[in-house]
Amino acid sequence: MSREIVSATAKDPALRVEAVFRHQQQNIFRQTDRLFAGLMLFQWLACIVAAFWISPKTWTGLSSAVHPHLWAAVIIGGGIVSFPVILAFTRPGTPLTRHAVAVGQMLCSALLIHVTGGRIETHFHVFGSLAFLAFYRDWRVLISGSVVVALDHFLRGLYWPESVYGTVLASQWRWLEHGAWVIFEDVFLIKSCIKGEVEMWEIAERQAQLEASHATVEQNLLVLRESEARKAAILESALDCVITIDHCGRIVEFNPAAEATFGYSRAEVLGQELAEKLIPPTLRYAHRNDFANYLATGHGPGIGRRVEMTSMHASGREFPVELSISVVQLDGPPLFTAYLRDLTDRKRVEAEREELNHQLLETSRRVGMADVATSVLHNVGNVLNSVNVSAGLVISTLRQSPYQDVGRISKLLEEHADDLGSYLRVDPKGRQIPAYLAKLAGHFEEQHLQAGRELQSLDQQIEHIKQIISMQQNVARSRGLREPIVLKEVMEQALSINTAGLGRHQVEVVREYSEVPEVMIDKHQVLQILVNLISNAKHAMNQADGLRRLTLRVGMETSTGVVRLEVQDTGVGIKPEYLTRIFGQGFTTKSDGHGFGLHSGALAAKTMNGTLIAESDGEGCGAIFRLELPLHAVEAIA
Amino acid sequence: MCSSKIYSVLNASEAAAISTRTDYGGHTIGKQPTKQHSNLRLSLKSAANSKWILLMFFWFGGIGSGMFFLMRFENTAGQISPTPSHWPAKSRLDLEFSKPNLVMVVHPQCPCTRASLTELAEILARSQGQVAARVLFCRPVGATKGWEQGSLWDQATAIPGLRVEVDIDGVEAKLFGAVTSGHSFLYSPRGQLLFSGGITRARGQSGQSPARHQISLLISQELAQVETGSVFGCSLTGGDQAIGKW
Repeated sequence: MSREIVSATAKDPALRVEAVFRHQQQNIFRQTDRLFAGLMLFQWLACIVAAFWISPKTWTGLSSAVHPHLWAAVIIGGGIVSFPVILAFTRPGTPLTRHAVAVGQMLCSALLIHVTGGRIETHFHVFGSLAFLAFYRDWRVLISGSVVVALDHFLRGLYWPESVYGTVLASQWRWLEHGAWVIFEDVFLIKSCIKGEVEMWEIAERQAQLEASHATVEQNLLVLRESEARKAAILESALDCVITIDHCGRIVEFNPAAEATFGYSRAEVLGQELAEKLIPPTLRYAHRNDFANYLATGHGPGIGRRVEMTSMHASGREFPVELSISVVQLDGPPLFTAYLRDLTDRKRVEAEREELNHQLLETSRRVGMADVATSVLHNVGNVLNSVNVSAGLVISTLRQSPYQDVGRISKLLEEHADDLGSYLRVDPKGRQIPAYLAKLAGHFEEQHLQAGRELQSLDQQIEHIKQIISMQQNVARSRGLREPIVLKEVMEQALSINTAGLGRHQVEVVREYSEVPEVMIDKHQVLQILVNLISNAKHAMNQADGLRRLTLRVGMETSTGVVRLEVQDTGVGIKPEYLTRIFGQGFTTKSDGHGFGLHSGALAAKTMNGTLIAESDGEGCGAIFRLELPLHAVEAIA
Repeated sequence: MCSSKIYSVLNASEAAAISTRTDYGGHTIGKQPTKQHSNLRLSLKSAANSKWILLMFFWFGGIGSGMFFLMRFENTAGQISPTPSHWPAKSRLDLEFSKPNLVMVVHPQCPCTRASLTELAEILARSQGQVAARVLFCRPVGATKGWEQGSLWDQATAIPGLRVEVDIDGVEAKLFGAVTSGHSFLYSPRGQLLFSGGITRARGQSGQSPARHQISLLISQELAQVETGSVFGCSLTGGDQAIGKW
């Protein structure tokens, strides 16, 4: 409740001042009520004692009875104090209680004056009571008390003037004279009460201000405590060691992670020099030197950056740590906070990883070499097929050469050397020799030309083998040599490499070439892909019955900037389920295949930022392989 | 905690009192009650206050009545018998011929007479030896010797110029016609009665009184006629009503 009031009134300072003022006033009212309750009970008792002491009995000769004053003290006195005392305990702080107390107190004065025989001294009780009533700091109660005094004098002056004023001739306004002395005191007491209220209000204002200030401080303190709690929680839960030292190098903060890392409890190291406890003896001098240097110059090697160094466990074991130090500059000397991490495990893991990487690299290198070897062998193998065919043709040509006929003619001519003229003219055999020689010459010329062509093809194939090897080496070096090429020529070159095979299998070749500008591309990678595709098409059609047609297309799409090289066959086709796996390494449908050609082709296309796509309507429907490459036209590049 | 100190400035009950009371200016602080509740509470409080205020008037009236009876008792004089106009011839007391003679007859135990002796002392002090004063402590029949020597006796003997004597069996009192304690008589040097009556303004009430003033004037011969006054005190010997009514 009190908090609600404080919070409610805190929003309005004037309300809070009012509340504090009323609260203090209530306290004074209640305290004064209690004070008067005790005082009145005491006065009652005193009145009885006084009556008993002064006039205990009334006499008639030798007979005596209780004096009426004693009865009055007991009965009237009890009546006077009972009502205010009951109110003081049941309704403390209320105006009714205060005024009842004021009236009762004045009646007490009157009774005491009567009981003490009208002594002048007892009259001071009236003025003392007024002063006591001023304790309430409520001038209204003084009025109530004064009215009772005035009323007492007025009535007694009216009925028993002699008893009040000592003369029967007193003026009817004499009560005013007596009342005036009370008013005389009242004036100062009322002024004092009003001043007291003003002071109470000022105190309330100061208290409200203090409370507001205190609330602000309290709020700030709360925030600070929360911040401290968060900081402490962070420190407590931090996995890294957090160690703070003062400007003398003494440890002032040592978190649980540091305890676990260094093997010291917090109590053991607080106030101890960091160098002595946590730094190996061999490094202490350097540390102290650096520390002193920082304090002198403001520059230090480990401030504001991560460094690795060696630290020391409580057992004396040295271990590597990563360390960063920040300076906390507050009022007074600076503090240094070190954030520190044990690198023992990390170093071990790094070493293990290094070894693993080394092993992996070696394995990769070996695997790569094997891949390269496979690729080279595959491509070279393809070309070697053509080489084999060309070489076979040359050998066959040479074997079928009628060079023995030249020897036989030469022998006949030697046998008829003496009559060579007549032999050539007359002898039937001799007459056939010139014609035969002419025919033989023609035959040799034809064989020479055919052998020359085959040897030229052989030379090209050997050159291609050389290029394959070179290309693979380039591939191994990650990037090939880009050069301006005409795609139709590359397609034709790939076709020529496979010409012999195609011819043997009676494959019809259809060319659909569009006009495509020269492009900058790695020729041999494209050639390798196309050779593979044509070779695969040849094999596919060899396994199929019916029409054997190989359609080669070269085209481009200007809108997308892509050039297309297509190899379409009428072979066995590709099952739909194979389409997604066909470019995977090791996948093949050929009995003697290795599953490397299309895989390496796809990789090569990717290397050139292109794609290799396979399409087939299914088994027996033939297939289309499309190589799409970015159009890097020579003109554009130039 | 500092905060608890601040907040404990108003504890719960005090805060509740502040939030609900309106009798010190009508300020309601804190949680505002609804208007209906507020009205109901005010009416209940008004009723309670009215009851207490009514009770206060009854109380004041009762106490006033008691005080009235007390004052009536204090201002009711005792009985007075006829006083001889001349100094009683049978009195064993000597008449001083050179100055007025003042005689006061008292009951030794009467508490109201303390005021009479106080007034007597005041008269003697002011007369500066111009009056021969004596006080007779009336010892009733049946009283033991020394019964009269109480606190009043001590008070009387302490007054300068006052002769204190015992009136055994009240013989002198009867001669002077005194039936109430504190009855004083002033006779001229020639034995003529100048004053008869009490010298206090009320029962047991000391302080300025008309009788004291009159005696002072008679002693100084500024007044010549016989004066009388009411006597406030206990009955000297019993039988006569000396105590005033309640």
